[in-house]
Amino acid sequence: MAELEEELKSQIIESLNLEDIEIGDIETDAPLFGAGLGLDSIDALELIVMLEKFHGIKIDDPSQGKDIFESIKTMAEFIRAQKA
Amino acid sequence: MSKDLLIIAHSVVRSSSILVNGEKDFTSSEQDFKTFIKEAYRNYDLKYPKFFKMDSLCKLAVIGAEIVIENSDLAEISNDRIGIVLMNRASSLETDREHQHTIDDRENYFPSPATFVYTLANIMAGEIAIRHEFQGENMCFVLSEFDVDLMHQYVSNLFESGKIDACLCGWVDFDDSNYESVQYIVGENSSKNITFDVCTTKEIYNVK
Repeated sequence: MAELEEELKSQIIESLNLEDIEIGDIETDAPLFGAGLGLDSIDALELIVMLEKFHGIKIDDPSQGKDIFESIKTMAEFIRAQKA
Repeated sequence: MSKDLLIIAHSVVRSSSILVNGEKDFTSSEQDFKTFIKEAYRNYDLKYPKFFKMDSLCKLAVIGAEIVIENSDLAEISNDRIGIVLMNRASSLETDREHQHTIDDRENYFPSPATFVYTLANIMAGEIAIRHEFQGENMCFVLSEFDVDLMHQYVSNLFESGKIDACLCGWVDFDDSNYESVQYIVGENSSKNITFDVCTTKEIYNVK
């Protein structure tokens, strides 16, 4: 089950050029924005593209983004729900 | 009344080496720009993770600016009195190509927002301004070659008009793995007696 979470961490590091961050540095429950990885608004857009590119999921309602991208855990839950 | 302007410090980045005030400060055996600039980042210990999100042009501009600012005492100058005037030839062409590549194929159409934001040459001045919180006049010219006369005239006018007390100036160009950054800080006070004029700027630019 944790495979998707690890995959997401790897994709985030690559897509967002988080050069100094390794997979082990990202906690599954930790917030991605603000105090977490310190991502910004451009990164948020990049995450939306990432979901579509790697997982075939398009977010039609941008207001969903805040909940979906709260953490790796919420991203994985959203992907699983979409693919169920 | 005309002010006597001086070059406080200058840096040159080209061919995997960095000169500060005419002296070799960092050299790498790496010919690949991406590897070289990463080595330079580590060498100067920038501690600025945002650096890795930048395109090559901005990385070049930020490194060239970092070392010249570090060698200039700007502590007494208010941030809103420090300007940035840069020139280049290729604009943001390298990143424009990268962006184009992501939208070429309608079946595989994934334009990257993080790439798209760098498809303007003046973003390099913006990145330097953000990093150092410079809020003065900010200009980026795209020209066929480094126009030292125009730079001298434009920056002198900024000082004359009383808008700035210091200015980061230079030529920062990146295209198809060819790169060159020549940056210098102009101000009214400096322990070094380097006059800001066309001749001196050409000497700095041509230094090998």
